[in-house]
Amino acid sequence: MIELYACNTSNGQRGAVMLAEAELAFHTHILDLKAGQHKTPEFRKINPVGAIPVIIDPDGPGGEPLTLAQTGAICLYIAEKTGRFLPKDPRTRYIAFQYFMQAMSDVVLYSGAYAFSLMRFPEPNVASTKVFKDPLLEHMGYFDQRLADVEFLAGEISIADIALYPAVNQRWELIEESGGLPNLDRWRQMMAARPGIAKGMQAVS
Amino acid sequence: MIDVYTYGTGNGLRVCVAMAECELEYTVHKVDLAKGENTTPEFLKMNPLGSIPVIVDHDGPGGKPLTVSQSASIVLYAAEKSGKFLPSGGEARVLALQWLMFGASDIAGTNNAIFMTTMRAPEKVPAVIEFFEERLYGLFGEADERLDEVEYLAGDISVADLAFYPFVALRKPLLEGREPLTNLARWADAMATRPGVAKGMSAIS
Repeated sequence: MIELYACNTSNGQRGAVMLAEAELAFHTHILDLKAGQHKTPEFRKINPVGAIPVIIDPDGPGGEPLTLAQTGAICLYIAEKTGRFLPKDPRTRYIAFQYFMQAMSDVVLYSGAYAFSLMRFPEPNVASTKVFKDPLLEHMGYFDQRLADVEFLAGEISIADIALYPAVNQRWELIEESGGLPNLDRWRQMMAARPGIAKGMQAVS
Repeated sequence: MIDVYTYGTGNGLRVCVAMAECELEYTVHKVDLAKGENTTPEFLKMNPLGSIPVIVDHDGPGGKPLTVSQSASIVLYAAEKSGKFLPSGGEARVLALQWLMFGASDIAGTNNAIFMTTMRAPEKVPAVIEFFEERLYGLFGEADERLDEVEYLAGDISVADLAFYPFVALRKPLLEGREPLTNLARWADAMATRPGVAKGMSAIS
């Protein structure tokens, strides 16, 4: 049984969704970030930098226990451990990596920095939110274009879709306010209907 | 032969470093972002998002050309193509991927947020800039703590070090004004003396 330490942020959701989609048994420990539960000495023993998500897999490489942080690394680890969500065809594999990295670097950055700028400036401050909001929407529009041609980002479902979904879900209101994105919406609804996605999102809620 | 379309940013240089260290046959094409060379129709055909770096490997999987964007996925591509800097299994592989994602998500994201708030924002908000600069310094501190225990991020040199190094080199001014991170400095010196790193870092004049 894998232990998952997470909370209801998009990165926490990614960890839970990945485990649920890969059909691995896991037990979720919800941390209250507002109460600083990720900065306690106990949690720092698990992850010295005090960030979530973290997994502990009692059956890690070589049958030894493994403690692993970094959302993207957890997704890659689970995909390789189970042989799922990484395309077998080498070309499709790199397309999956490409969209996965776009979600894990660009989208995570702009979405997080957008939320931060809103928090920092509760009064509408177009100048500072625009720097993050516009690129975030630009990336979403790019995914929408891609999804006009294919069902999933890499053609077949992969870690790229799993990494992107929580951000799209989290920012859906913003996307709709900005005019909506029909292909991304179709993909979002298809993803939401998957039992693994539903189970993962539920696990940290 | 691999065509590398890139520029002298952290993301742009990590690809040059990876190509050189993996000893792949490649040609660098400078895409001057200041002149908007990333928005030409020719460039947008390779990457509709208009971001660098992009590679075209004329001898991709199955002997067919393959175009890949997203710097971290290109680093993975170079490692897998050459069979270098990424252990094939075990805990060593997991650690290399964990620290690769640290560079791809946390470091590159925060670095980009500093760029956006200092260079792109219509108004500069010192509190926001300072927040992201402190966050980047904090992340460098996490790496410094790690490098107190090990020589390279994953133990042995790996994709993680290649992807991280350009950001440490480019953010030297930020580091110099703060309490020294001696382990990170030792690591950076070791990286800088590697011929592949030196070649990659000087690819964009």
